[in-house]
Amino acid sequence: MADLFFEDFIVGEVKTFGSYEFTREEILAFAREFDPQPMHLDEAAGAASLLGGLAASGWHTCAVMMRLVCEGFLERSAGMGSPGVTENKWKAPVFPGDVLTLRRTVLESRTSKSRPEMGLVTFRFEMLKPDRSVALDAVCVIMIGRRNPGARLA
Amino acid sequence: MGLPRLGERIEIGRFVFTEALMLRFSRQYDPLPFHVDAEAGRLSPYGALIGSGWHTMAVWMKLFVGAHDAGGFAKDAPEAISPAGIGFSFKDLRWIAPVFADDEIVFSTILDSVRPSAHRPGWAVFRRQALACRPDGAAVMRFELTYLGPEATAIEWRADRPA
Repeated sequence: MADLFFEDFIVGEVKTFGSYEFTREEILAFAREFDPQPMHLDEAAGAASLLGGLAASGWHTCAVMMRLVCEGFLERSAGMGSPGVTENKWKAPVFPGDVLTLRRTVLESRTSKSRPEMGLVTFRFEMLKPDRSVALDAVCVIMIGRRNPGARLA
Repeated sequence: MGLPRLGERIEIGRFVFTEALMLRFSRQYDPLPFHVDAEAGRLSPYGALIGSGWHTMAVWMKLFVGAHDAGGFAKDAPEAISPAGIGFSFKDLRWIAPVFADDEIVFSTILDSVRPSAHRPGWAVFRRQALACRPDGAAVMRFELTYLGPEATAIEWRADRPA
């Protein structure tokens, strides 16, 4: 049962959630299925590439970000889906053994006139490497149900 | 090598999102109730189980990579190591309509601009639209992708080559 609603996401709030280890096996499995470029599949090719070593597909990092978003708070939120992603930047490669965490910043929050049962929350999601450098920076919008649908906002 | 075909839509492939494939992706990366549980999907605003939007994106990339052919390049050439290229960013991603089990989706791309790399001969910065539609043309997803890639393997140049 959801215990986090639209009203619980306060603009300016920053929190970090979870951790996820990118294993070599999972990097290879994801790349074989969705991004089979040799730089994501083979050590020598990765080392010769601009990434500087066998590195995860950027789409894999996006998928793991979503996993941490789900585990961190969305599974217990009244989430109703997402209209999209405003912008996503891949800022640094992710290598086997890297453990990443999610940093969430609430950027904007607005109600919907056409759908009073929900609001739209804009988040910045950053995937942080162990040295706190940012591997991925995404601005995502999520539709979240209101605690008291239709109630007038103060 | 010919001129790149800016502004022209190129189909990169079609894909059927079976329930088994949708569930496998969602259980690992997007385990929200309407992505992993048929009953929860029925009770959701979508009315049925729907696929993860990140799965739709990943399949676009799968077909985009598959549309590149590094044949003829040495195994250790940049064109063979990273035939599609290295992503910088994407923007304006819209999940326009849900994908349901067994939906066939048509994937395509439109090259908006290409600018030769100032530092790497033979490489260019590509900006392109990524599109996913139903067979009747109804849009499902779109985004705009920017990346650094080899010019020689770009699908627009290849399409210009004589067979």
